[in-house]
Amino acid sequence: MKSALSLSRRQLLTFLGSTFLASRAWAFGESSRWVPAMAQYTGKWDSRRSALRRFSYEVQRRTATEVVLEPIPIRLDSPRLFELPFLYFGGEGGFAPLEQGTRQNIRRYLEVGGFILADANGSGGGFEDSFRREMSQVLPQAPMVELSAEHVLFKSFYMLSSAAGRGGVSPFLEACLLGRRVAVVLVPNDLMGVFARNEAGHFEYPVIPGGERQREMAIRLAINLIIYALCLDYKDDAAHLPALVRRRR
Amino acid sequence: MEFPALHTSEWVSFSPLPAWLWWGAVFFCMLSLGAGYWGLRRERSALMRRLLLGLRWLAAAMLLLFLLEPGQRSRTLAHLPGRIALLVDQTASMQLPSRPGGETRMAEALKVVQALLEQRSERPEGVELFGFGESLMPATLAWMGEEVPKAEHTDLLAGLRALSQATQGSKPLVGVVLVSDGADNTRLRHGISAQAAEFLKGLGIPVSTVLVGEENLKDVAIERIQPDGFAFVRSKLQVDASIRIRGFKGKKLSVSLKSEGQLMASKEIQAELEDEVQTVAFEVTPDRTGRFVYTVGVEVSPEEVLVDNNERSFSLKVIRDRIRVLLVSGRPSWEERFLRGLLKEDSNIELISFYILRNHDDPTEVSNEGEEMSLIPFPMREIFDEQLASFDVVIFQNFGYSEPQLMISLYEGNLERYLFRGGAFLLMGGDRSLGESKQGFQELARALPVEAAGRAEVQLFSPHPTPEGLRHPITAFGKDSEETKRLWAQLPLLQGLNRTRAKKAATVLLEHPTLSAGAQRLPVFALWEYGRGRVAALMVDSTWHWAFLAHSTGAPSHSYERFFKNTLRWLTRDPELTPLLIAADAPRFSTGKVVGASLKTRTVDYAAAPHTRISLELVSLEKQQRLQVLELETDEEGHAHVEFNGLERGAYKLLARGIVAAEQESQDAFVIEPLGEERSTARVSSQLLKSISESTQGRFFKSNAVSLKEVPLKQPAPIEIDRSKDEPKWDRWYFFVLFVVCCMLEWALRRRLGYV
Repeated sequence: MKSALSLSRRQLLTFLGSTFLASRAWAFGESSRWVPAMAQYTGKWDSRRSALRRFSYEVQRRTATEVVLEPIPIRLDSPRLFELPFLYFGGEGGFAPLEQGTRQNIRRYLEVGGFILADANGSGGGFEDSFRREMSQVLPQAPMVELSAEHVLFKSFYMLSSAAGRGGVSPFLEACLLGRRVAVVLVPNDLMGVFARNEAGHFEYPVIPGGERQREMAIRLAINLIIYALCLDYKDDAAHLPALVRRRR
Repeated sequence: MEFPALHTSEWVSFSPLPAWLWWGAVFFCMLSLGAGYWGLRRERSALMRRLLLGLRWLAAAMLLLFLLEPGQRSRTLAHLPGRIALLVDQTASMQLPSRPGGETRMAEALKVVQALLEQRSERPEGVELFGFGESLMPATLAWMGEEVPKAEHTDLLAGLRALSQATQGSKPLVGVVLVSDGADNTRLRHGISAQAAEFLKGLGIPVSTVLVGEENLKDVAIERIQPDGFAFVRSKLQVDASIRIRGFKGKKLSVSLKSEGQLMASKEIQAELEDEVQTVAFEVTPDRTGRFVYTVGVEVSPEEVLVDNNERSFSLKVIRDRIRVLLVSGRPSWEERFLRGLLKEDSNIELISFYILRNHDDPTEVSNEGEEMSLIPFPMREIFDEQLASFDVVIFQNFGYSEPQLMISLYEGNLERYLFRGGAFLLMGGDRSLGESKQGFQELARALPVEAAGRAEVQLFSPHPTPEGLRHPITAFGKDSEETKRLWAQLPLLQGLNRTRAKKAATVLLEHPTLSAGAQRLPVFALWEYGRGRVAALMVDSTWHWAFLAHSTGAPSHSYERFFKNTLRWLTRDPELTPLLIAADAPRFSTGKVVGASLKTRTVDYAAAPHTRISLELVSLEKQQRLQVLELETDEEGHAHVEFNGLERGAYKLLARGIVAAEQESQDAFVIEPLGEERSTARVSSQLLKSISESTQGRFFKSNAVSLKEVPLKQPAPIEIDRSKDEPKWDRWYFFVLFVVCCMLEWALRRRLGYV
């Protein structure tokens, strides 16, 4: 019965995604929509491809953002990177140093307004160290720092107090800031892992240690990241502050 | 003139051998002596040992003598006299009186020079005269008497440096006499720094100084006014006037601030020291945009040596305060994100923004009321009713008429009236805007320059500037039409276009390259004036490509910033973008300079307006009097230039008005600087001149006690005045005999003693 229900929901979502959403996407072209671009590099970069599709659907479902559902792999040294201001940089395990030209391309991408969400898939296993190494080369002027729970990113859509994910590696987000803008966020907790589903439509991975409540918090964090990428510090505007401070209390 | 000769004699070597060979010989001799000593270590007779060693020493010494070839060189030297330079300050401060009611400092300086020149027969050194102002010039007394000192900066170090370089290679410079008032206003303004002292010492020449002008003069001068630049309309600005007061200890003085002849404020200050600088602060709150002249004045006392410096004018360009922009966005998107980034980055923009973040049919169970979300209700009444008039520009980005959460229809009338009364509005397209929204605007639609004409186009395209767009200040990026076309063609393609039709009175600046609605190409960017307001419509939501995608090649691109900033400037009626513009060539001119002003006329669609007749008035703001009225006609380019000569110091206003279109009006203001810094202060500094003399071992003189005889001079290096005579001392026959005898005697003795 449960299986039948899951399948039914999945079919419904697929239907929505492939027909209704897609047709709306073509109503005015895709250029202003949020597109889940995936960084393609030498390493295990695509283990959360289907999870990213599911994540796009959640963004479309929960927010007013128009999305393109299908992730687009993009090489880091490609000029086409500049067609996609959001880039998901996921991976399992360490990866080889990037070429100097690739680093320059990423630096320019970030400096003119691009946003990178880095996510340690699986159990991490060296991905974070490799990513930090690359960022220290790409943005030597902006070392990675821990974002405090007061940062606008934790209230850009949902009110959150920590960084949840599939695992409980760290309650913090690390980020590179260019001026006041967060240009790079590193999530050590396998954020996309919470969206991954198997063929039967069940969640593929357990969420440890907080279970389904932690999964929901992770989904909210992912939504907040997208809304931050699209609206920047909108929730820091004076019009919002009194209400948000009251809610924090 | 006879100069006492000096005979010298010194020992020299005439050897042609290189030094290494000579030192090799020394080494060989030492080795030979050592070997001799070693060979005689078992000799029992001390007398014999000493004798043999002595002979070898003597032979070695003779050998070295032959190699060194010593001799005596005799020379005849003499100290020839050098030159003394008289260096006279020719900067503008030398025009000032040396004492109240007295002659100028330059006249006093000329007397000093004349006295020194008359004394030149008393010294063997030659005397040369130089003047320094903008640069160093050889001079005569007569020329100096005719030349008006006018250099605007006194830089004594530069004068001394130029003098030391100018005399290199000629007769040696042995002394300098500097005649000045010591009113250095550059590197020695605050006295001699360690670096300056080092430089003066490095000159190696005694610099004697002569002070002209009387110290302890009584004077009040406005030295500086800050800020002198721009201000924001309706914002308080503090104006600080630095006033130098000399010789009025204990006296109360009245300081006033006037604007265009009208007294705005006055304050009283009291001098506490004999020589001090006091800062008086005034608050100014300009209520209009444009350029305005303000004047700070201090009451004049009869004892003052200089009265012109008691008043100083400054011009303020009053610009609009931070532009208040309301941005309402229908959904989070890249178009909204890059526009927000641009507007937030600009410190002249105060951004108030509201975005629709959540769909009204969000199926999740997360509740905003439960305070798990950060959403706040859109304050419709506050924004579109109470505060609407406080915004300079309202932007709807992809924001439709019938957003279920926002009942904008209730406030459409307010928006329309806001625009008609002088507001500004930018409508940006998207899938919730114009023809794409479920329902069109009703009342607001009247204010828009375009109307919906069907469903949107989704193809990529490059917008083309129309003939109007090629010359409009928003879209004319290049120096000329060709460059503008090229710059637009270089921009990344756009995607998605709301299909609209431009209204008759609208001006289309950008259009689709191929698609049409009826006889018109589809407008991409159009604008018009609605009542007293301005409205623009941009029918795309992908201009962020110009901000982001344009950087993919690595070449910097600023077209996105230019486009939106130009649009905001046009919407807010930036004075630079008006059809008639008069602008003085500079906000401040020096006394005696020609004052130029340029006129620019444009038609309503920003084409050059040739042969436009303009009436131009020149008004003295201090006298509140119209000085000249000119009638001008612009050229083919819509330009005209006018010049005014012989204007006195003071503040002036230029008022241009169209003769045919009298509602076209433009004005500008400028100041003829009463005095530059050089002539605005009566300062005389004996201390600086004394310090220069002390640093260079010169002497300080007062102008009435100068004596060329007492000027310290550097002893010049002696020069050879006769041929030198060399006499070798080594080539004597007896040295050779002694060498041979020593060698033979040693050999004979060694043979007898059995060492050979």
